[in-house]
Amino acid sequence: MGPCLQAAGRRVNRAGVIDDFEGTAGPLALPACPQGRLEMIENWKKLADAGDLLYTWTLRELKVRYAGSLLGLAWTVVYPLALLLVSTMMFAWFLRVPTQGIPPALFLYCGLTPWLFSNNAIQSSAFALFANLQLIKNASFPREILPLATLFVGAVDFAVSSLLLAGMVLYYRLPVGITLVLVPVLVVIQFMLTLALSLFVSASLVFFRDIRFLVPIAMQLLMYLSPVFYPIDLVPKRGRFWYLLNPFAALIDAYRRVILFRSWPAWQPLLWAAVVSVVALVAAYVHFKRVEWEFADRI
Amino acid sequence: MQIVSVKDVSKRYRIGKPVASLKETAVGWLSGRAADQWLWALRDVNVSVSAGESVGIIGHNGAGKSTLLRMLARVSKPTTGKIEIHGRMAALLDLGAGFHPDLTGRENVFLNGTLLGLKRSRIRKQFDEIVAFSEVERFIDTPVKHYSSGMTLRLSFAIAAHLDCDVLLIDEVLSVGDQSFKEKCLQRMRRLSDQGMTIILTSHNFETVNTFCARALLFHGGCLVADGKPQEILPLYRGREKRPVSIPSAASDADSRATIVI
Repeated sequence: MGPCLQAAGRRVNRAGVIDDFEGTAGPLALPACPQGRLEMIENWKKLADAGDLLYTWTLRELKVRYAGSLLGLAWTVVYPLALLLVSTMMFAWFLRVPTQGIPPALFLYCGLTPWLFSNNAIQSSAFALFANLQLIKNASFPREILPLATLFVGAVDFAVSSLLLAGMVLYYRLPVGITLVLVPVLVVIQFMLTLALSLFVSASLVFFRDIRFLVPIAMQLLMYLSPVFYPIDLVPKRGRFWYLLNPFAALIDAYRRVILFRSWPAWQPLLWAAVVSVVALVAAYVHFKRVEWEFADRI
Repeated sequence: MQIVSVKDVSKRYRIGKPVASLKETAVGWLSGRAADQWLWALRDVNVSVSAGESVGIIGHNGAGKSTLLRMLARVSKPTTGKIEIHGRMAALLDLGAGFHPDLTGRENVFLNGTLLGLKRSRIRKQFDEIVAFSEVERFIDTPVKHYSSGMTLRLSFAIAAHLDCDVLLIDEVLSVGDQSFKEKCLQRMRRLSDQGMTIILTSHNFETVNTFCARALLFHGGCLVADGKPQEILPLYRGREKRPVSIPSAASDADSRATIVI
């Protein structure tokens, strides 16, 4: 009975501690969780150590995705092609969106490829933590592995999709130029932005189930606010500034310019997109590490 | 040498509705009240374990055993207090945690092993040993969904039994297997323990603790009530059987130190 009596004797002290919590009763607030710089370095080390887990988990996601499906891996190719067909029909044949002298299918696919990567990664990573709460409750590993693995799965699709894009460029004998060197830079910026949103959305879904309905709507909105299916010239000049505050708009426009038009992107919006991506990633990661301890307790 | 130290550790959980909707949260914020109720699952626990000890945590349901183990396993964080483990720690909290039914036994060994912190190269090196221990060689390339629960247990224990760690945590796991496999597990654990590994396990089965552990910790209602040799603890444990733990609720015991309502 010793410790119990001891605990009873400390009631006043405890009450003092409890008082500290009163201001932070919101669901996202954590009781006393100091996040020093040292702890962040520690987190990075743990993440680096978990490289093998990231690899294995990504492999698992890839294998599981097509388990029991008839076409299996072929879906990775069929899916973007099917979307391309639908969007070409819709936007090139019916709506006749001007494509500035580029074959419509190629024009659309060049915007669709990067957009699909971000869209699919964010939408599926939303469930990365939620679907694995049982695991989170029973094993300790860096939680960011789960949304990160979904991003990597998306990256595999993105790679396949990009090969198709390269094939189309060759098929249409479109000349390409030195501006292609910028593509890896665009990819890095897009990865950071997508990861930031994935981390934020996946963590939020654990606390607010409503997120699952909000994410598809938000992504739909974002898609039409980005030049995925139309050239950016269709956006009125007056609103262009506000339009380009959306980092995805700047990125997709930049992809098209460097791949299809052999011209350099508009630097200002691109720089803005890069800054937004870095800031968002840092903020999302810090937030994620701050709330990750609550995942296991909230089931 | 002290390898595990638990200092003044308390843990509380939110009870009632686990997940608020966005609307409820917004309403809660706007009206300036939080309707959360808290349950203290553990209060002021102080324990230290020396290297090489094998410790059994016993107690009835709701005593706080698993809560403590989860915190030792760094799955969950103490609300107050501090836990330190010096050395590599591995935890077997749930059988087949991370096993995916559509993947084969082989794929799941790698999945589960990396989840427990092993490197793939190390798993590859010990793979045959793990499979031999689990006795599922014939089915190692069969999807795990076709396994019996005993086979899943054996495979997942086999992975844990081949971890390279200083502290091994095991939660209620051995209660599932058949007698002969249980023997085998205990034997293996004894060998690991002889090699200097610190093993901490929880159980509500006193016999398991008695046969394996030199030290037992008895928990009741979130408090550590006794710490000593299993034989000394037994009468206390039996005595408490007659008084089932009632989970304190906010309404029933306003003056109980186990519940705080904010």
